[in-house]
Formats: sequence, structure tokens, C-alpha cells
Amino acid sequence: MSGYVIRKLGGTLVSLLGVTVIVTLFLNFIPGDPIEVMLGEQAEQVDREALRRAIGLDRPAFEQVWIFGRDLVTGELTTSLPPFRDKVLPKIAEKLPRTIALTLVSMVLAILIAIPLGVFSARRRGTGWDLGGMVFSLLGVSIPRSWLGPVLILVFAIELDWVPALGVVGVRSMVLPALTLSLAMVAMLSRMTRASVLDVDREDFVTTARAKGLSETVVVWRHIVRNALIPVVTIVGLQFGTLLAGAIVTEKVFNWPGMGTLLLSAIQQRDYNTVRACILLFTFVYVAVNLLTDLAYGFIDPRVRTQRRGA
Amino acid sequence: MAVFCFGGCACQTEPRVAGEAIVLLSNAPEALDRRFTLSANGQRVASLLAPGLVRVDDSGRPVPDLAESFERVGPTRYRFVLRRGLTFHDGGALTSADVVYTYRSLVDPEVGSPLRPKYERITSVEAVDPRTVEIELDAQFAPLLLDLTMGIVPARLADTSYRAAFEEHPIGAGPYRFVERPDEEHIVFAPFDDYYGGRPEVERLVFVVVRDETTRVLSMLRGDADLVINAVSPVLLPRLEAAPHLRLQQRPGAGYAYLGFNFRQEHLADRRVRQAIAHAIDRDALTRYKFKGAATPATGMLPEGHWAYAEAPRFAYDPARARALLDEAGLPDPDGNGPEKRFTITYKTSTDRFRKSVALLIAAQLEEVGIGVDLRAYEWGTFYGDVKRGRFELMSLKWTPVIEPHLYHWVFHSDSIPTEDNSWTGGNRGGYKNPQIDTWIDQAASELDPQKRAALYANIQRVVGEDLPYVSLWHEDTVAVVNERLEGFEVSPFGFFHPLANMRVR
Repeated sequence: MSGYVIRKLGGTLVSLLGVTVIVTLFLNFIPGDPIEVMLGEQAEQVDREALRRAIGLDRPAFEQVWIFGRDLVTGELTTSLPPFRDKVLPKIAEKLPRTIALTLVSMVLAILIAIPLGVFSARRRGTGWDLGGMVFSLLGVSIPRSWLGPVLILVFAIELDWVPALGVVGVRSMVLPALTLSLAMVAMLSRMTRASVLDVDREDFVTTARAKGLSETVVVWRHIVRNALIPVVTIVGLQFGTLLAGAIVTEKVFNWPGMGTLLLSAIQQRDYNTVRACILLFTFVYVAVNLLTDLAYGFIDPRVRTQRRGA
Repeated sequence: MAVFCFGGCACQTEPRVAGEAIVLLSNAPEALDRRFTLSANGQRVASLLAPGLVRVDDSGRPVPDLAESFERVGPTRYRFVLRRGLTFHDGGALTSADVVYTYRSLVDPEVGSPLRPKYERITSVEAVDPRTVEIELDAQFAPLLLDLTMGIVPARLADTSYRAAFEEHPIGAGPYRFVERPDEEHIVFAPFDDYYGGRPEVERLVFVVVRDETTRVLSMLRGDADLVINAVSPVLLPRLEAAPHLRLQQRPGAGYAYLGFNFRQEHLADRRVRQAIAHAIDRDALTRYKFKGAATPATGMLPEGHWAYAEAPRFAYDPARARALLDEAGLPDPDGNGPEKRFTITYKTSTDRFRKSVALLIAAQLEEVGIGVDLRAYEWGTFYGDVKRGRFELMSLKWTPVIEPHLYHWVFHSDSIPTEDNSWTGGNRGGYKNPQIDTWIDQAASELDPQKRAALYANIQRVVGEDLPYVSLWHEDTVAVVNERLEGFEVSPFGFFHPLANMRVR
């Protein structure tokens, strides 16, 4: 078991280190002079050298990585906007909880809708209901959030006038972004649940349970669904990263002041240190959640550990 | 848990507060201190808080703002007299010492303004008395006045212990004072009782940053916001115009779009070929269908109504004339109107969807007269890098609002040709050279009599209009979408925010 954990942790550290290097040096990969790209037509009136120094582009590559990493860890990292005094970390600390809140609410919403829907489809396999569920899932996975968001605003904010289109007004304004963000996950999870329920339905212990004369409700919810949920839980964990990425688009559409808007604003303002820090943070969360999922899976299902040991 | 803290947010948009005006911005101002702003939105919002000695009127002329008058007192020396009784938002008097501090701080490396190189031209700023300031330049330079729109900040900032408080709560002497910026996306202003121009009638002015265009449009449609300037693309304007509570205000002036030629390309070095291309492009149709009328065909960099604007030759859409000119230039079409081309050039543009769609139409119109076009759309960084180094044959780009005609020096003077030796500095990327134009541009920069300057720029516009280093495409309009709740708002052609001080909320 400890070997398994160490292997996983080691892999995680390597990916984090790799991403830090790439993220720090990505300015050096831009074609042409990054300072010119940043400043555009305004370069004439701007102190290019000050900007170059502030971002550290005048230093060797390894030093850039070291300085960025050091400033990030010590909390000294400043934005790449003159006068280079604003700290990056407090900004992130302000925005991150909002993105996490949005992501978590979307996730809970997705689970609450998807699992009953999946079980329902599986129980009515081959009927019109099942077909309807499939069409819904297909649409859910295919519809881009950048389209769904405005349509939801048009219908619920403008035509029906139920929620505000703009701004953050308590929990009510979280409804539309959370719906937008969760739709793809609902679609995917419900299909997953359906398939998993059908698989378990064919197992011998289910036949036994039915033969014992248990009511169908008990068989479905206690015996089938509980066992069917194991793969679904894994998918939920792995999908967290996807949700986080989706939050960027969703936050832009709904003007939700979280990490997504911070990142977009930093890109627009060419505030590269903030861009670097945000990307690194996204990577960190993604990697951490994957690690936790892997580890949790190992704990839940002893077979996973045994297989690894055997290999 | 984080969900609950939103209840206390000051940025509620519902229900609408009486006397409150909400203005949408497409991106966040990077600073509220004008000395640290490079983006247009940053400069506009900051100027509302802290105006400068002068501001720019609708024809691009400098007019008094905090200064009640200004005059030239020596070949390179200007005198400004401040209005009586000016105060900052916190009640402190605004005197010549604050003006002196502002301009000195701009060139102070310690302060670190990104605009420093621009202000290094000023050799001295002196307070003659509490209301009088004299500014000395290193050489005669007529365009100086436009740089003196810089917002005046209090001299108390020299005391570094005040700086942190100022950054938290910036002040100036503008029509609106700062209330709060609860987050990056919201800026709240309130009217300043002692503004020299009179207290604005709007009780609360809120800027909301909405990065998604569709959301900006929907918010305007729902009536959640009152005003958006130059942040809605032309195709969406008819939908907004149809809404009963919204009105559109359009004025020519925002941005000059052009097709640039590279004189190092053998065929393009021939003036007849350039003129043929100008005749081949149907600008009326492009502005009508692609811009829905929110652009005006241009004859030069300056928009009509600008103080230095002068009539230049117009190249009407005339494919027959274009073909004749090309024949004359010794470039006959090998098979008449068949698939063979007279010659082929590459045309570079950015991957921006709208710009690319316009470029496709222009390319199609050139093919019509027998010029083969190899259209290449590049990601912005690559495209701009190539353009800066003169690596293109044909390209289309846009200059942001042209206010100061001295831009002609940057764009068409032979000193401004970017080369490796000057580390690619200069906007004359096509390598246009005309000694006569150079002379006129130099004279205009040091000519201080506005009428003589205008005459020089008139010459420049006429000759450049014949030489055609650019085909002038159009001036894009400044478009404001205004909720009828707002009364008295008149959009500035350059999209400036000072009209926000003169409006009322119904």
C-alpha cells in the first residue's frame, strides 16, 4: 500500500515541476519579442526595459523558473503591471473560493440530477424514456457552454425575469451558471450510471436477492445502485478538473468574479505573472484531485491495491 | 460557505437604485491612477477621477480643463493658469505644486510609470505662483498639449506613507470621486460636490466589467445596465436598436482601418498598381453590409470633423478603371477574366473572425480585377511581429482613434521605417519614402500656429492620398448604446468618458 502511495505522489511531484517550468518559460516560446507582443502599438511610449526586467525576461531561463517559484512560495510575487507592486496571491485568495463554490455546487447539482436519471433510464431500458434520456445526454455533452449560457440568460433572465442577468446577487444568481456548468456532467454521469446499473443487474447476487423475495425497490436501491456507484464515484472525481476548466468559460458568460475572470482579465492586460500563477494553480488542483481520486479508489476497492502489488 | 459572503456585496444590480447609472466595460482598468494606465478603458476611467490641465474636445483640439487658460511664452515654454478654488476630493486645495509633482513623478524611475519615456521630453516644470505653472520642452513640439491631459494627483504623494492610502482610495479633482472597488469587476463613483464644472446629477456611477459580448448585449436588453460604449460588434446593433428602451448614438472617429502596402514588393512599388487596388475595393458595400453603417469610408487617417482634416483624393469603386491601370502598369491579365492572374501577392491579417471576414471580401474583390491573393491569417503575436518587421506584402490593420496628427510622423516619415539597426522601431512598416512629406511632417511638428499647422497637414493628406502608401478603408464609428433612463448623454467621437459628467438618470 505505501509503495502505491509513494509511486502516485512521486508522479504528481514530477508533473507539477514540469508544469512550473513550462508555465514560467512560456513567454520565451512566443514568436517574436514577447515584450512587443505585450505592449503592441503602445511600445513606443513605454519603458520596455523596465517591463522586461519586471518579468525577468532579461535573465537566463533556469533563473526565471527559480525566481518565479521562489516569489510564488514566499508570497512576494507581484503582477506584471506597472508599478509592479500589487501582489498576486491576495487576488487569487479572493477569487478562488468563488470558483470552488461554483464548481462544488455544480457538482452536487450534477450528482443529484444524474444518478436518479441514470437509474430511471436503466429501469426503463429500451422504452421511449430511455431514448429520451439518451438524446438529452447527447445534447448535454455536445452543447458548448458559451452557447448554453447566453440562451439560459435569454430565457430565464430576460423572457421570464426570474433571475438577474448581471452581477452577483446572493445564491439566486448562482443558479444559471451552476446549471450551465453541470449540464455536460449530468449527461455523462447519467449515461455512466445507466450502464453501470445494467451491468450490476446481471450479477448473480442480484438474482439471489430477487429469489429471496425482496421487493424490487430494495433490490434496486440497496443491492444494485450501491454497487453500481463505485465507477461513478471515480468519474465524479476525474471530472472535477473538467468542471474547473469549464468554469472559465461559464464565469466569463455570467460575469462570475472567480478564477476564470481573473485569468481572462490577466490575459487581456498581459499580466503574465498572474497568468502563470493561475495556470499553475489550476494544474495543482487538477493534479491533486486526480491523486486523491486514485488514492480513494485504492482504499475503496482493495482489488486495485492487489493488482498494483502484483504488477 | 463562500456563497454566503456574496449577500454583502456592494454591487447588487437589482432592484435598480434611483439616480444610479451602470456603465459596462469590456475589460478591467488596470489602474485608477492615470499615471499607470496604458489601456483605453483605464485612461478613460482614471481621467474621470482626476482630469488634467487640458482635455481633448470633439474635434481633437486641446481645450482648458483644470487650467483655465494656457499660452506659449517662449519658443519651447508654455504657461498654464489654473482655475480658482480647485480642490481634490478630500477637500485639499489643488495648486501648481500638485501639477509640478505630477509631472516630476512621471519621469521618476522610483515611481515607475510606464509612460515615462513620453514625458522625458519635458525638461522642467515650475510653479510661478500657486495658480501658475510653466512647462519647458527640450525642443519645439506642437503635439505636446495632448500629453498634458495627464490627470493631476496630489503632491502629498511625495510622502511615501500616503501612497498606500492613495492606492486604496485614489483622489483627483474630477467630476466623480472614488467610493469603492469591491473587486476587479466593479468600480463605484459618486458625484463630487465641489467639481469646478458643477456637481454631476448622477447619484452613483458604477462601472461593471463584463467580458462576454453576448452578456453585455443581454444586460442592456434586460435594462440591467444603462450604457456601453464601443463594446458591441456591428452585427448586433440592429437587435439593440429594436429594443424600445435603448437608443444608439453613432459618431465617426473611433479607429482608422487601412490596407497597407509594402514598397519592397516590386509590383506594389508602382503607384498605378496601388491606385488600381484602391479602385478595386468597394468600400461602400463593405461598410454597409459588414458594419451595418457603423463605419464611414475614409480618405485619410483623420476623420471628417477633426481640426486638421482636409479633403484627399477619393478612389471610387471602379473595377474597369482598376483593370486599365494594371494594364498600363505592364501587368496584363494573361487570359482575360479567366483563372490565370496578372500576379499574385500575399495578404496577411489576424485570426480575429471579423477582421478575417473583411479580408476575405477584399481578397475576392482583388481577384475580380485579376490580382491573385494568397490570404494568410496569423495568430495576433505572429502577425504583429511580422508587420513590425515589414515582413508582408499586403496587410490590413487599424489605428486606434487618431487624435494627434503628429501620428503621421510615426506612420509615414522615412525616419520611422523599422530596421534591424533601430531595433524595429517605427510605424512606417511598408517603407514609404517621400522627402516632401518628411519636410512637411517636420515643419508641422514644430509649427505652433494652428492654422499653419492645419495647412501643412492638408498638404500631407493630399499627397499621401495620391501616393497611397495605404488604401484608406474606413473610420469605424464610436457607438454608444444608451438606456433611455439616461438623459443628456452625448457620446464623444473618441469614446472619452467626460460626457458621463453631464448626464442625468430619469
